[in-house]
Amino acid sequence: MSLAIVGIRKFWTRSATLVSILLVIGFVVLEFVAVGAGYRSGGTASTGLDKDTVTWFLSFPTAFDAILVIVYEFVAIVGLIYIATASGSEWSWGTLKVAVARGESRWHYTVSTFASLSIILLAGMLIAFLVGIAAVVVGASIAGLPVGNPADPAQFAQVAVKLARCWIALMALTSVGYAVAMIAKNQMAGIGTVIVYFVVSILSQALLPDIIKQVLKYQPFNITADAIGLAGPPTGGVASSAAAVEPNLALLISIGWLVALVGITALSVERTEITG
Amino acid sequence: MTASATLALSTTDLRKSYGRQMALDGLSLEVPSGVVYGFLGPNGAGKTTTMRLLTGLIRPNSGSISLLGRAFTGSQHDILHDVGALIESPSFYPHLSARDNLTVIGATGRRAAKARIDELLELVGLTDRAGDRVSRYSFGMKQRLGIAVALLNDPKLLLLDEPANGLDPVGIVNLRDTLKALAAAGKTVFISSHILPEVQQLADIVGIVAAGRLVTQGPLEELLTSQALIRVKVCPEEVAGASEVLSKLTGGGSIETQDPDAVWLSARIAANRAAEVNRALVGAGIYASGLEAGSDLESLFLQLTAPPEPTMQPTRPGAIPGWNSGVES
Repeated sequence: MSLAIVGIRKFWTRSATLVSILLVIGFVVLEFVAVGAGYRSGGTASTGLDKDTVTWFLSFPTAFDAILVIVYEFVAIVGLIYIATASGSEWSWGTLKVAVARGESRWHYTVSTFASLSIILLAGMLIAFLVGIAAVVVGASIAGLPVGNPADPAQFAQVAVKLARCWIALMALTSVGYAVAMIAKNQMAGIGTVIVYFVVSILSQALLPDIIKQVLKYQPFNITADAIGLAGPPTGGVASSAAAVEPNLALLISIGWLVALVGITALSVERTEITG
Repeated sequence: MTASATLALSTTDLRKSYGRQMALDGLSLEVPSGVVYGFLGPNGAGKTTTMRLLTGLIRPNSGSISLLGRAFTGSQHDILHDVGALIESPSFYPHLSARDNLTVIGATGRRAAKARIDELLELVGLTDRAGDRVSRYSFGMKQRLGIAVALLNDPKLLLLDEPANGLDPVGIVNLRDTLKALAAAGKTVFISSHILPEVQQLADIVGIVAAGRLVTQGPLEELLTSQALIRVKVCPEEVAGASEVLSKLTGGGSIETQDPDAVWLSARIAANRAAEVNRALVGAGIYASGLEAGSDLESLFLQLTAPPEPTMQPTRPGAIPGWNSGVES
C-alpha cells in the first residue's frame, strides 16, 4: 500500500479529523440557517443584507458560490489548525523517527504526508459543500424564498471547476501550517503561527497603507481567496465583489506557494537532526 | 573476503557533538556478523547518540559508519531496509490499533507483508490485543510492539535500545529467547541495555562506552576472565602462606580487606580455576574459611566506567549519599 494511501488511513481515523469536519459543518449550517431565519423574522433590517444578497445566499445557482465562500473561509481556519496539529504530531509521537530509521526517504515521507492531508482536506471540503447545499435548501425554506435547482446539470461542470480551485487554494493555504509545524517540529508552533497569521492578515487589510496592501495581497491568505474566482454577492457579504488579483494569476501564484512551502518543508526535514 | 565484509556493523573514529557538548569522541566499534553485541555505558555515555547515528537520524561531525558491509552516511536508505531498530521509547500512532500501526509503519521503508504482521503479533504475544488502540496499552505492551516493529523486515541487523524496558519477567525471558534464536539464525543483534545481568546472559561480545569513548570491547568471556577475581578468606596468621600460594598461581595476590578475625586475599585468576586454588591452599596446609570465584558484568562495568575522581559530596551522618552516575556535565 502506498505511503499516501496509508497516510489517509492514519489521519482519517484521528478524532481530530472528525471534530474538525463537524466543526466546519456546524459553522456552514449555522450560517445559512441564520441568514434564512434572520430574513424571515425581520427582513433585510434583521440580517443587514438586502434582498438581492439574501437571494444570492439562498437561491441556486448563485448559492453554489455562497457555499464555496463559506466553506473556504471555515475550512481555511479549521484546516490550517488541523494540518498543523496532524503534522506536528509526527514529531511529538516519534513516528517520523521510526519511518526514517526504517529507511524511508525523508523527502518522500514529507511530501506523501502532505498529500494524505490534502486528500483529507478534499474530503472535508466536499462533505461541507454537500451539507452546505442542504443548509441552503433549509435556509431558503425558512426564509420563504425560492431555492432554485441545486441539481441543475448545466451547473455541474462549473461547480466542479470551482471546487477544484477551492481545493488547490486550501492546499496552498494549509501548507503554511504544515511548513511551520514540520520545520519547528512542534504542532503548537504551527497552531500559534496560524492564529497570529490569520489575525494579522485580517488587521492588515484594515490598518495598513495601500502600498503595503499591494504587496500583501500576494501572500497566501489573500492570494488563495482570490484564486477560487467566485462572484461575490451584489452588495456586502463575506466575499469581496472584485478580486484583488485576477483569479487565474492568483491560482498560479497559489500553486507556486504550495510547491515552495512543501518543498521548503521537505528540504528542512531532509537536513534536520531527529533527536526527539 | 575483507575484514569489513565479516562485520555487520563498524564505526571508525565517530565524533558527534551537540553544540559544545561532545557526545561521541572518536568511537570505533566492531560488531561481527551473527553475534549478540551488548553495548553498555552509563547515562550520557553516548549510547543513544550512537543508535541515532546508526539509523541516519543524525549525522556525525566526523568519522565513518559501515552497516552490513556498506559505507553508511545517512542517505543510503536501502541499507536501512535490512536493519531493524528500536530507539529510545517505542513510538506509535496512539489512536490506531497494534495491527494498524504495524500496517502503517510497515508501509515505510521496505513494505512489510500482511502475513508478517500477523506472525509478529503472535511472536510478541499481542494477538489477543491486536485490535485495541495503542493508547490503551501499558508501557510493556508498547515495548513488545516496538520490538515487533524492529522485526518487521526480518532484518539482518537489529539495533535495540533498552529493549527490556517495561517488560514483565515472562516478556524478558521471551525477548531473550527471541534474540538468541535470531543470532542463531545468523542475524546480528546490537543491544544497548542497563540490565547488565540480562546482557551477560545474552551477549557474545560487549563494548563499554564512557564519556563518548570506547573503554573496552571484546568477547564477553574474555573480558570477564581478564577481570576475574578469586577471593580467599584466611586467618591473619596464614596470610603470608596464602599469598605465596596465590602468587605462584597468578604472579601476585593482594590484601583487599582486613577484619579482626580473618583476611580476604584477592587474585586475578579465572573462575574455572577455583578448585585448583583450593587444592593448592590445602596442599600448603591452609584451610580457607571462604572462597569466592568469578566476576560479573556489573563489577566489570563499574570498574571500567568509574569516573577518575570521586564526585560524591561529603554527607552528614545518616544522609542518603548522592548518585555518581558518571553523567557528563
